[in-house]
Amino acid sequence: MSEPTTTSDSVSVLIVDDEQGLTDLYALYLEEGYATRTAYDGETALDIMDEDVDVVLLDRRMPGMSGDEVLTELRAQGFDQPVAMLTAVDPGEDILTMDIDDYFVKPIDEDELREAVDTLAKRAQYDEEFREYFAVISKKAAMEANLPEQDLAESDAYQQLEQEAEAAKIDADNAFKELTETDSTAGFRGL
Amino acid sequence: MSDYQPRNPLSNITSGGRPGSTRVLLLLQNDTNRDHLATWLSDTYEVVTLDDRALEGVEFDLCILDGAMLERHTDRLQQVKDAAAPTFLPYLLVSPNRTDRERGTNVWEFVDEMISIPADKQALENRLRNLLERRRLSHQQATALTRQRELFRRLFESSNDAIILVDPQQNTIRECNPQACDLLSYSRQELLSLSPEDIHPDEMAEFRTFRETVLENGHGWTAELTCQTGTGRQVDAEISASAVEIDGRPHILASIRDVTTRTEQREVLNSLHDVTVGLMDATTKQDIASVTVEAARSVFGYDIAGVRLHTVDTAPETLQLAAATPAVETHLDVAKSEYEIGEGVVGDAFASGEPVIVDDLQSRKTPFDYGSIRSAMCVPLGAHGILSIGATESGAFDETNLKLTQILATNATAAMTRAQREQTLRERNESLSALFENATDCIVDVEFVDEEPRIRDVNPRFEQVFGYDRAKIRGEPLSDLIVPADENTESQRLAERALSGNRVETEARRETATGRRDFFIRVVPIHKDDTEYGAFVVYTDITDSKRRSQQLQVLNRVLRHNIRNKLNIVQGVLGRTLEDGKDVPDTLAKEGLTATDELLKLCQTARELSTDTRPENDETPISVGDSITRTVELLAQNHPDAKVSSEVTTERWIQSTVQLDRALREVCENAIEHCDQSTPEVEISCEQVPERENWIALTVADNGPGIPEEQRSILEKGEETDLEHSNGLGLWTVQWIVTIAGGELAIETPEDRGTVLTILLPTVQPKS
Repeated sequence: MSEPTTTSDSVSVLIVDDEQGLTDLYALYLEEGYATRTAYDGETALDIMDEDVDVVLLDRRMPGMSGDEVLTELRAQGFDQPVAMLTAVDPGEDILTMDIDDYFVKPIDEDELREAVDTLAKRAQYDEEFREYFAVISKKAAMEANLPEQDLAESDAYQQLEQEAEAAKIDADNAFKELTETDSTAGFRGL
Repeated sequence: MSDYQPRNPLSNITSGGRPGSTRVLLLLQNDTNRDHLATWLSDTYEVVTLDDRALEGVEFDLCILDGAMLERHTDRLQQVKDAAAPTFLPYLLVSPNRTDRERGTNVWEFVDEMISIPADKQALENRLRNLLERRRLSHQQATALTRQRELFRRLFESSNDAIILVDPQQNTIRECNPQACDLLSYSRQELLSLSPEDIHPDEMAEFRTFRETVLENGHGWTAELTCQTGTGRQVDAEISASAVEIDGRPHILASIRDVTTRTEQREVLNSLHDVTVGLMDATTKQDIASVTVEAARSVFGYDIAGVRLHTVDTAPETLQLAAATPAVETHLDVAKSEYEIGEGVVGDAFASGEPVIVDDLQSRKTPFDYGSIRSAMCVPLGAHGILSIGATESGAFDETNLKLTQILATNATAAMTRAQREQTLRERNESLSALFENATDCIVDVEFVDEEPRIRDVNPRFEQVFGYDRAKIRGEPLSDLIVPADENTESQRLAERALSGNRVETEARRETATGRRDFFIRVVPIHKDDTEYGAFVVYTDITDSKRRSQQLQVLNRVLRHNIRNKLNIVQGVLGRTLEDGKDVPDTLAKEGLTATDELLKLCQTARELSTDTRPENDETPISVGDSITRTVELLAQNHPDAKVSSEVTTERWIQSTVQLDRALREVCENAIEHCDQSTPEVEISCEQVPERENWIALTVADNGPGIPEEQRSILEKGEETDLEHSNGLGLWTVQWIVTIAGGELAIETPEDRGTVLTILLPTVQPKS
């Protein structure tokens, strides 16, 4: 386990694996360009998890709290960051019902790991843009539902919302475009 | 003319309108009258007109005619009517007035009725119906008479009996049939010129008495008379006679049977009865063949007789001589001992299934030299073989010989069929019994008493595996002997399903002489009869295969998981050392090294697992106390920081195949490694299991945090745990060792602290 090495702008990754050597190796792989936190068991992982973490890499098979249990607890606590399962066990059909964003079978090399984290980070970014766009749209819809058309046309706040909505849509579209260029499965993700 | 279309009289049966309908011929001068009548009658009758045909060419049941036609066709009409006799052919005269009655008197000889016109329709119909009814009755009588005469003639001529018709008043023979001529060796002419007394010259008085009896009573029967034939031979006769009246005078119709041969036949039949008893006592086809041949010789006096049996073992199939009379021996060089089906007279008869008599073998075109045998009689014995009888003179066999021989053959065939069926049954019983006795599965024959399976019999394998004496457990409830207490419900369900008549298959644990084992159990219900209901229960021990498949699965999963993890580290470390500008921290390099160590250790564990079932040469039972001592010593050496103690209250032995040392080591090491106390404590103890004489309980108690749930399921049930947990093989190893030993595992986690793990094992006697 290591202290967060956050730089203000970098993507923060939480790595959880009971195989200490492997956790440390993955942290080394992500040394450049990422802020990493490591945990060697599920309980520690939950302790050091917070909103600043952008991506979680989670080993599935651990003594004590298993990867599945950690995931369930994370979601229960309201963390909705992308999670990738890293496992040395062949996946079964059960991964279809798991609330995860990707599944990697070990061994994983440096390039593979960095690409995976990069994709998940973009996805997290897209989620953020999309959420903002959706928030603006919701507010706009709420106004439209409660005010006569004449009042809307005269409302400065509404005019501003319309501009914001347009800008948010462009941001979300760009994020999505960027995402789909690297992540073929993104189009199916919970949209 | 009306539009009525007369049908073709020749197609009487197939006519379209009313099949077998009554045909009425209209012979009327007047067209209007004729059309009128035709219209009237065509509803009920088939109307026929003469048109240009001759009267003789028309078939009809009744003719309606007028005076003019009567006059024109008088002679013809008369002839047609006479020809129809004795069947009545009615003619109805239609007359405009009653004066026609004054016509020539001969008219009434063949005109049967007259009706005046214009006539009432109803009156006409009544007349027609009356006349036709008379015709029907007359036809019936005529037919009956003809039939009787025909019957009599046929009986007379074709009867097997000799029949003569005696005129007692004239004392002559009035008629006789060909059989009578044959029997009495006279021609018909000769017989008809004789007096019946000439046939019984020595018994004149008896004949007369019989004759009077018949005339008096109307019938009579005697076996007292003999008949003297034309060649002077005396024939034992049985005479049955009836009085009949012919030409107004009494006659005697007598049928005579030659019982000379029948007396002989009766003797033969009696002997045949004895033969049949002999046939039914014989148990093999070979024996039956011998009895049959002996019967042919002693009962029928056939010196040359043999039975060939159908053999399917040869290719092509053959008929092989199975038994023969001594005389056959002398002919054996010519009487082949083996025929192919369809070959020669014998093979031919067998192939056709029909008996054959050959009067002269020499006259037949045959590829065989039958030597001095001239006549042959071959009677197939169903599909089993053939009985053949020979004679050195030609024409030795007739139908009577054949019939009697057939009786013998029929009995022999039935006996062979029965013998074959019994043989099959016997063989099946024997193979069933052999299967039961020698099966490598345990088999129990049970009957259900009060819906509970009770032992009727068990096979030796069952005795061996479950450790019971066959003779001592008959009648015992099966469940009481082999079902562990915790499997009782499941066992009851099994019995219920079997009781409903279903074949049941399941996997369950049973208590054997060497502990609990896993079995694949098949229950095959058997209905013996309505009152008796049972089943065969077959136990296949699948403990080893079940464990092996589980081992394979776990090994595959655990090894792959661990190898992937460790190799990922090694790969990462090595990869980085080769890359420029990237360093490998010492800590990570050490971890890489540790990973390789662990991989090697894993190989060792896997190797140990794969050898754990190998039977050991040394069959000396293991002392449990010694094993505990060794374990304590080893642990003290490897884990000096831990406190390991033991308490053994009973000195017992277990089978040499049980890897108790390893099991104990794994359990203790697991406890020490997972202990969260500064000084791990482990205590091993051994004691006798209460109420289970040949069992011991080995207990390992620790002061650790308590064993996690997922590890409990490995140990207690040997169950596949969640995918996410447990990377090690240690606890699996313990589970497998205990399973192989037929033992049981139990885990308790006392509330205060630690885990108490108990291994129950069956014990054996120490080798003296």
